[in-house]
Amino acid sequence: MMICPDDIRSRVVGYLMQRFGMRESLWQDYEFYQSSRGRIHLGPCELPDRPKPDSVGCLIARLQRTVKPSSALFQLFGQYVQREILNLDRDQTQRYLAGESLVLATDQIADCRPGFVMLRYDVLPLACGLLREGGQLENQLPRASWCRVDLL
Amino acid sequence: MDRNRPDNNRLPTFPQRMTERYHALVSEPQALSRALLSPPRKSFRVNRLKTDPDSAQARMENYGCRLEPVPWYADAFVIADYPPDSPRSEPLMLPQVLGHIHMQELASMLPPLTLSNELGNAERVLDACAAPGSKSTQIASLMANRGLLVANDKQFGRIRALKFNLERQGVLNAAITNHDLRHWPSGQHYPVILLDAPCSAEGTLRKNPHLLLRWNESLLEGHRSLQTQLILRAYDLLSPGGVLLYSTCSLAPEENEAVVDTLLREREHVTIEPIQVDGITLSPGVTAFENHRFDDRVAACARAWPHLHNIDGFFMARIRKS
Ligand SMILES: C[S@@+](CC[C@H](N)C(=O)[O-])C[C@H]1O[C@@H](n2cnc3c(N)ncnc32)[C@H](O)[C@@H]1O
Repeated sequence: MMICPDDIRSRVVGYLMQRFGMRESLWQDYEFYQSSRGRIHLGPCELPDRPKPDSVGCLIARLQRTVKPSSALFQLFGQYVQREILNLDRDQTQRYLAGESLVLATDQIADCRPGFVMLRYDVLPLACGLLREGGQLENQLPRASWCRVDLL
Repeated sequence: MDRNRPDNNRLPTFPQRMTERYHALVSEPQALSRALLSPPRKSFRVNRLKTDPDSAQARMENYGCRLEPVPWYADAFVIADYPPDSPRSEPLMLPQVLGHIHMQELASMLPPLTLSNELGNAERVLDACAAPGSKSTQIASLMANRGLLVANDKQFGRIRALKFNLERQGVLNAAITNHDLRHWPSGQHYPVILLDAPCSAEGTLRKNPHLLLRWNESLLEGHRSLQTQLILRAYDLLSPGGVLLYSTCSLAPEENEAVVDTLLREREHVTIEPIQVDGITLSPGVTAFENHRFDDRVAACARAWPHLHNIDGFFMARIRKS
């Protein structure tokens, strides 16, 4: 893990501001780190000299052709997201957390543009989802975290 | 059924020697044995990085869970009952999945709690034996995600669970290291260190009764030797004026008072500070056990007993480098 070069940091911060309205000051107490596989972590400003850390802070995004925000980012900073919020009902939440992709009705996605969205149930930020033209919501949760939630 | 608990007809019995030891340690050894074989209560801690106790409580009660507050910790609750119509005996709840709460035995919440004052404004904290991260996530919560928390564990296989828990709870201020504490490089010092040492885990028999089958007094010596090396190294990494909390989930004086006793003999400027948690009266450290005598200062250590406190057996020493 190394500290993100300025251009990459700006790309991530700019994307989160532009698409989700997440202001830059949210990140001011933390440092951005990058792993070899394009994973961006938000972590502490100071690190131990030795031994070298294996991992730092939380995964907040992956760099692909675009920036892909992580579910951990929304779960922690969801209250500061201002747009591209998609509310799921109980059944949809249960299915999404179990790893399913969903097809949503037009009125449910009326406030969102295609691309990455923050999913919410009740008032709780849940995860990141990928909304396609036509209402297909592609599941973005890693397989290892799929689970059958009983009480929600 | 909990796969760690054999069914009632096959509950293991205590080895004779273990019973003798309890006679030397407590005035009600039978009550202790009984408590150690009864099922533990389910409890959780609220993660203040993501929510607050009132919201978490309201949500869980809304599901139909019956909660009991914990008199000594506002962030902790006992789940007295799950909703009667739950599809599973231990249903998976959304606040768990989102890291708003963390299922954690009450005793295991004590070490970070006793460091609350220090953690509130600590710049650098070392959790030396951190996996799977119950206490690390609590420490991060008490640090409000500020400063630096070094969460270390020697066992590579346990680092994955540590990462998973830290991420699920939204911990931003942690750096995970995979190192043997005994060989930790010199140089950087830490004002706050938690050493939640590997141990015989005798105090967790309620959850893991199968440990009884493996219990053997001769194993205690191996634990003691490792714990002694760990406490000495941790103390050397402590900043002057700093505080080291040594804890185990063992009841055995060999793994507890004896280890602290060695630290007192082998290092200078060591003070053992009394441990006080409002709402629970912990028992003092023992200064003698069978034919061993320990430094009188170990009386300032604290022990939780399952039969007295209705939590897992636990030991803590709060060590100041003056
Ligand atoms: C009691 S467990 C820690 C539990 C943890 N503090 C928690 O609350 O989730 C003890 C840990 O010490 C680790 N350990 C054992 N020997 C060690 C060493 N020499 N250096 C660092 N960690 C060690 C073990 O791998 C184990 O995960």
